[in-house]
Amino acid sequence: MIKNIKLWFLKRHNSLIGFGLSILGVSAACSISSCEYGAPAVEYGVPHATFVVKGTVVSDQDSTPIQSIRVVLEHDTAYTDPSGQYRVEHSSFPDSQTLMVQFEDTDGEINGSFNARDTIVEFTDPLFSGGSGSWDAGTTEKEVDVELKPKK
Amino acid sequence: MTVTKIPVKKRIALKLHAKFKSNETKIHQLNYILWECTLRCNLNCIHCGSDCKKDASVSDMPREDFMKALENLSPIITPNKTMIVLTGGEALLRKDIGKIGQELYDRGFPWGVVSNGMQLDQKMLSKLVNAGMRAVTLSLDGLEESHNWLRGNTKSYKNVIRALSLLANTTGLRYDVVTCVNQKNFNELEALYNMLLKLGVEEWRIFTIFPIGRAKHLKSLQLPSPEFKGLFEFIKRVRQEGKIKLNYGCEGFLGNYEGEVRDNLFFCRAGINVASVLADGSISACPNLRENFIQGNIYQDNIKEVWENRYSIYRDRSWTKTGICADCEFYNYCEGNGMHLRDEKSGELLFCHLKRIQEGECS
Repeated sequence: MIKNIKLWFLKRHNSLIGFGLSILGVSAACSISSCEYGAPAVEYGVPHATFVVKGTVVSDQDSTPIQSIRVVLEHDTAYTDPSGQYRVEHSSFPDSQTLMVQFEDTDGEINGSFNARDTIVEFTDPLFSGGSGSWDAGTTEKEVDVELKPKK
Repeated sequence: MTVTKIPVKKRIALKLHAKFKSNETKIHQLNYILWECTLRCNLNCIHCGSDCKKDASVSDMPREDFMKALENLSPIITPNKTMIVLTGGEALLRKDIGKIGQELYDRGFPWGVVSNGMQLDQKMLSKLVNAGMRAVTLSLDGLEESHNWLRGNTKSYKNVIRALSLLANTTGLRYDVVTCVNQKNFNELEALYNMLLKLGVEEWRIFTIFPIGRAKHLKSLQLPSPEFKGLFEFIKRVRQEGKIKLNYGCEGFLGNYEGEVRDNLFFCRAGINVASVLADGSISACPNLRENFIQGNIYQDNIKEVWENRYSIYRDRSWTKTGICADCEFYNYCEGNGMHLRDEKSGELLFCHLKRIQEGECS
């Protein structure tokens, strides 16, 4: 019991650190994908679900939508449309997930120049819909609107 | 970029990350198990970090024995959150590779293979995919001549390109390419980058060759300091271009390159989240950690108890604070570099990335 409480505390502490790191613009060290022998995330063939993150990217100066911001969630990459909207998804185990979404201006001066930003998205005890009744638990979504700072 | 001049913001991140690592160490949740399922190999790589042999003189561990070890671990792992990676030698030389995969799949483990691609034709790929394989790592060490040179086989390059083409056309499978950069292929990186893009590869990992295994006796495989630093500039630029997901491997602390050339800050997870079962049943962390790094043997010990009660050299790394690490200002972020870069007998540091990059800056 005491061991479980201690583990819970350590895990929550690390979630907070992950959040702190994302504010500092550094990817949280949540995965071991840089390890030498192969990628750990395996999407299918075991119980899995689709985690969708969508929203709008705007300037924090005047809330103007920003087009062509690159949005990366694990292995999915998308670019914001003219209204600043994006949608990315990730397939993983059907339980709570802490995911990092990266926003980066890659088109230079076109559409303005903005600083990159990473955001932690937490899916806590998510509810899924549209599952197959087998190993595909379905889909869950989170809406995350993001403000980017213009580069000085 | 000066490698030791780390901006305040990044230093704060590294300090936070040091706490993160400390917590992860206390939790030490096992979620990544490598099985050196054979020592047999169909190549003769100059830089091999394994003890692999071309012949079959070392018999393969029966798969039942590995499955039994997984059963012993069942109280402390969740199968669908624990990645099993089959490595070697060349894992695809096992005749029962499909059965191994199917048994892992039936137990709910995600599993993958590290391969040189020699055996990975359509028939083999279909067999593995049908057995639930969802991750592959393939080695490609340069353009044709330099790849074949390092791999010691004139057909190796063609086979790995064939395998990559097949993987690109297989849905639902995650794969990446690993390249060991050395003096011979350093100048080919740009061409290799463009070729990988053409082949539809989305993930690429770069390693430098470290002085263990057969590579210990071939210092010429290691990059001179200016090229070593140049490599990180290359990785940084490719990552900024965003056409391929390129990461430097988990080899070492990189000073101001941290956060620039890898998705994550440096964290050697050997013995923290990663365990391995070697061909003779030895229980280690990564397969290239042998000798004094071995913590037990599945034929004599219960692997669950080994994971829970041993691994102290991995979870308390204060013993690494000797030699050049003793007064290094970055020790708290690095903790003695990757475990595979400590001598397996003396524990001495064999290679410091930071120092090598610094030398590159001075030359």
